[in-house]
Amino acid sequence: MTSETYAMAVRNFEALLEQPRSGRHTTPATLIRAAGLPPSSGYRHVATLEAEGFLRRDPNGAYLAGLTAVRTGLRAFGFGAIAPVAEPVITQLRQATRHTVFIANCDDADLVTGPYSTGPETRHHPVQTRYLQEELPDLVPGRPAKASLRYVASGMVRRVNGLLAPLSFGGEHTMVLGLLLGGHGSDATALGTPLVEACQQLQTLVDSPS
Amino acid sequence: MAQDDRTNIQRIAAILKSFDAENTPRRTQDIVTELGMSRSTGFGLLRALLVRGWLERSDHGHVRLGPRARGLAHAAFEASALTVPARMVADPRRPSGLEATPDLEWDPALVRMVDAGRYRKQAPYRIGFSNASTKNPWRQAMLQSLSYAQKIAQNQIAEMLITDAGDDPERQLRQVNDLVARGIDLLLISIASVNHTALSDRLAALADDGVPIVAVDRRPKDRSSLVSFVTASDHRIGRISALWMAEHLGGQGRVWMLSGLEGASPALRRQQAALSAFAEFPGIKVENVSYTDWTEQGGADAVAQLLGETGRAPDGVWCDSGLQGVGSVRHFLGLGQPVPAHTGGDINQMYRLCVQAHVPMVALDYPASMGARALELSLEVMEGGTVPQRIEVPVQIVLPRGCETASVKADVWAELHAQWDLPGDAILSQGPALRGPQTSAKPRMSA
Repeated sequence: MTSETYAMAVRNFEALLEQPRSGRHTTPATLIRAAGLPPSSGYRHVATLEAEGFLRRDPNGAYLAGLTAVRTGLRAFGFGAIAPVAEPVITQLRQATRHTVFIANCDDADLVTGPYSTGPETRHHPVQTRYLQEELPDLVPGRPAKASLRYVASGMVRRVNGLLAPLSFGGEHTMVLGLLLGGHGSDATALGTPLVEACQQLQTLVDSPS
Repeated sequence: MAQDDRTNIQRIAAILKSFDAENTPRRTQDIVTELGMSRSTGFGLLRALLVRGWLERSDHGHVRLGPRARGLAHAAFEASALTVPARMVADPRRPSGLEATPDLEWDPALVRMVDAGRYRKQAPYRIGFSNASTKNPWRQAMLQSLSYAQKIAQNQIAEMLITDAGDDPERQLRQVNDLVARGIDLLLISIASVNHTALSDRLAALADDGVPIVAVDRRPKDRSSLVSFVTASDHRIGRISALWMAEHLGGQGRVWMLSGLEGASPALRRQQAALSAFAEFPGIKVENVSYTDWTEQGGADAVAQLLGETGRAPDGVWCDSGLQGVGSVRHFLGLGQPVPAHTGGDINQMYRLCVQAHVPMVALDYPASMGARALELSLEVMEGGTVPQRIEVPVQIVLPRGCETASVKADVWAELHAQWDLPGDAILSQGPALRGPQTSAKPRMSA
């Protein structure tokens, strides 16, 4: 096999993993078409990625990034320890608060988002891959901090408020658990309590999983 | 391991999965050797992954996951069905006193974890599924969901042995013993009766012998024999639906409650949660609680009887499922009367009727897709990972457009959730198994 063979395999892998973010696909055929792959190999690749956990399907059949993909991403940050508990904690916190919940890597003013779950109260704010914090919040364990998050969408600078709580697992990155806040319906004081409790629980689960 | 049979996509997946939680750099030679690849293929793929940023060099001959791999972390745990980012209008009748204060339901107990390291075993596995029954459409849908997951993970499953106890705990006990005798690696069970002591004792003995047990949908009263339990929140179904009903009625009105099967724990938990929610609204009067056996006829009969007794329709009919809700809605439509607000989902027909007749409604489907989730979790247990002791499969709130209230917002619009090309009795929450013929092709087997 030539180097082009391996490069093509990597490009196919990327193309299929990219699709759940860029659109809603409920059949392998639409996913393969959107990825620009031929059906002959596309079906086999989709099945492989589902079996390997890099793709999965939600209860409505739509393709999502698989849990292995999320775990690989968190490992790449050096935060693989939170991977097994990220989904139950985020999902539960989303149900409890009805707000969008996310884990993010905080690098100075940059906030690079990881796994998230969209809450009905804030569904009008699609989660961005990256936000810029307008002021650096004082991230103290056990205390939620409000943050004004800026991002660019359709060529326009937009802003959304967030509530952040730090997760301290050491390493070269700082992770936060965060909530996106809506308008008048988001009571940051009330939301801060479950956010901090979830944070503490993540920490406990990572420190002593059983 | 027949490594030569693997595709390059499988090899890429294996390489990316080979790094530890701290992303400790690894020697390229070690990766190639560990994954059983030839030197040319292994180093060819590693080079391609480096070029595209999936890996990065950290030291001479060492690599670790790179910036593009970090991008994989940005992922939704569910796909939003609400694709139109339009502002929704809450019910204009709600009083200002009911303005949205989040009803925070954070329960730390739901995310306890267990280390399944002692069950770690090399795939493929023999898994036994002792099913309580397949007597109703929901249970059949749950089994279909599990079968879908089995197809996806077929290279990890040597054999899947499935039994049906027909809701008979004695028969289930015999079937469990038979499954164990056939050498299963893990027992997946949906218990026929929570109160059957012999069955519960047998599960405890199996757990003591080191057999990992995962329960789905129904568990034994004593959960100490289980590694994990996959379910959904009946409390949430009951509470949210009642909260919506009360807010939709502006905190004032007469409500009839149609529960499912008398004595069934899901029916009881949903009913208790709904009654508790209604009690928070002094102006809501619950006039009656009836049981319907979760059948369309039961729903129709209950409504007919109550209309005969009271002489006038209520403001709302709370149903813990659309299985009986369909009967109630159809009865009102048959009378040519305005149909009061309803609750209850699960089956396609309930959504179709309510959308067509513009009946205000809310539904929270009890997810049949928990079958697939239970099998996925079972495989994680066999791989020796850290898994949640209890998994609550998310329950989506389904509302027609314009029916949101101060506290209850839609996860999915009923107009999009209803499936017009599927039979009325289809269970919509079974996931991709709902449209079986469109599943992915078989993956190439690695061994």
